[in-house]
Amino acid sequence: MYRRWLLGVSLAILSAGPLAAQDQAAVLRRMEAQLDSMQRVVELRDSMNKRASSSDTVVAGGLRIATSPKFLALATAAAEAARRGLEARFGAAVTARVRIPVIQFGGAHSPVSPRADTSVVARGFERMATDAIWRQQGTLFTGWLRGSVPGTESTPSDWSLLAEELQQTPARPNRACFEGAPAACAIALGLRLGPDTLAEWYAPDTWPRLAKLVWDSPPGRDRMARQRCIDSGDETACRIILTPSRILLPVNVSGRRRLIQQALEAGGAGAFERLIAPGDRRLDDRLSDAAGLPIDTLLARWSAAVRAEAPHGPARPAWELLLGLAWSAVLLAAVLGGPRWR
Amino acid sequence: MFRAMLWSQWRESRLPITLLAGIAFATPLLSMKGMSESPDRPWAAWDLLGASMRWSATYPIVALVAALVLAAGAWRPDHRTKHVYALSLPIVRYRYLLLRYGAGLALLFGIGAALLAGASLAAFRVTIPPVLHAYPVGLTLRFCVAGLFAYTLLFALSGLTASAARVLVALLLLLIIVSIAAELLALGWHPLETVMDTLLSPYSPLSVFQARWMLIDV
Repeated sequence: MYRRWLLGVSLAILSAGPLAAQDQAAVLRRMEAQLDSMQRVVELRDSMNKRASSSDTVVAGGLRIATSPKFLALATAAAEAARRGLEARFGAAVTARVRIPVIQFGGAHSPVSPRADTSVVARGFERMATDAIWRQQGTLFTGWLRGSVPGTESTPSDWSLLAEELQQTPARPNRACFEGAPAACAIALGLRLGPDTLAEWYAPDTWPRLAKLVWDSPPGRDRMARQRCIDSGDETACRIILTPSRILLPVNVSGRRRLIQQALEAGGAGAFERLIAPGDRRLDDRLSDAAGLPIDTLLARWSAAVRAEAPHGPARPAWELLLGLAWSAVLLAAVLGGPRWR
Repeated sequence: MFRAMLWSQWRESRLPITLLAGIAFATPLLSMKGMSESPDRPWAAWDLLGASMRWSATYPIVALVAALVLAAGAWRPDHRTKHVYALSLPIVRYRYLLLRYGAGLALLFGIGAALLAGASLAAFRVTIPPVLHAYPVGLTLRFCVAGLFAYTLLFALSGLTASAARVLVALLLLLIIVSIAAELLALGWHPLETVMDTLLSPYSPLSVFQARWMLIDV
């Protein structure tokens, strides 16, 4: 069905006249809109199929779980826990309003046990719903996050990797950002960028090596530009290959996800609604509104969180080494206290 | 008596110990090969951290192998002679074991000293950009502690009595059988997984192996 739709859309576009004569952007917008509606049809069909193949449906807030009688108790408990988690993060109004596709759980041949841990199943539901909620907020967030969505929680090792990245990647703003300069963090995170993103992120002497990192076999003209950039550092060639969508980000997408999470955590109740509030506002303004803080304060907090978890060499934390020593002492005491030789 | 023990242990495992000390000395030097260029290169931090990361898995492996060789070497003479020599000595059992254990430990620290020398030399030869730091002492400390724990554990296992070894194997088998049965009966309970999670938790003795074994780090 999907293929037939795609074929229909392509034929419609081709039969509408020579592409060169049209406004290409308008055509692309139309295609995008048609693809969106196709996707909605596919989602609707999948939801209907799922509902038809299961005999019970659990509803908790905006969550609908299609399940079998065997898994009903588990699905109900997990859906309720997931609803509470979603409402805490996104607010009850958003959770009830968004369209979350029906989640199929525990069919006849499911490998999941009906006695599985409720919290694990709830986390699974919550992840799926979270993904759906973020993807329905347009391309502002998913575009900035390069197709991904903010996660649910961050561990110290996530921050530690960010610290390493800020020191390792030779981007212009990284060092100042690590040291706590909010303006530099805004550039590194792609929040405040001028028209020349490449020059704002990287000094020209890093461009040839950056071009090496782009990809191995770009098509025709780009391949030649890449080679010229690597071989001679030719600025024009480097600019052809090092576009903002291809270039190595000064801070990985995970850093951007952590910033959104921090803004939501700082903002407390209603933070998500303020983040997605309608209006043509920039991302940094939205984050600032969500957090209820000036954006520079939020960025300074982000940088401080990175610094706090920066690794400090293999001998740290010291308690890990002391724990190793303590376990060795316990084992040695057990060996020495043994009664016999063999 | 300690010197005699040390000598017998050295004789027992001198070839692998020398080899391991050589590897411990050479690994940091190899990891920093080709890095001794100008420090103001914009990609210096990228290259140094990348090289440190690539070689970081080597250190815990060397620590583990060293512990295995030394623990096996510590008990081999006694197992071969059915503990006749040990029983003929006018010292109590725990003191004898402590001497054997100490001899192995001294050799383990010898390998650690080789690592310290290699790591210090490697860190001295490269020019480190201001954002990064070299950790030859920290790396050696972690190596010694990880090696110490693995050595103690393997020393304890090698010295088990036959009946204790049987009990240990029986417990392991029981754990595996219970795990399989729980899986087949869909009890939603995974004892083997729980044990593995516990062993790899931050407070387990094995956590010392999990950290970043980086000679150059931020």
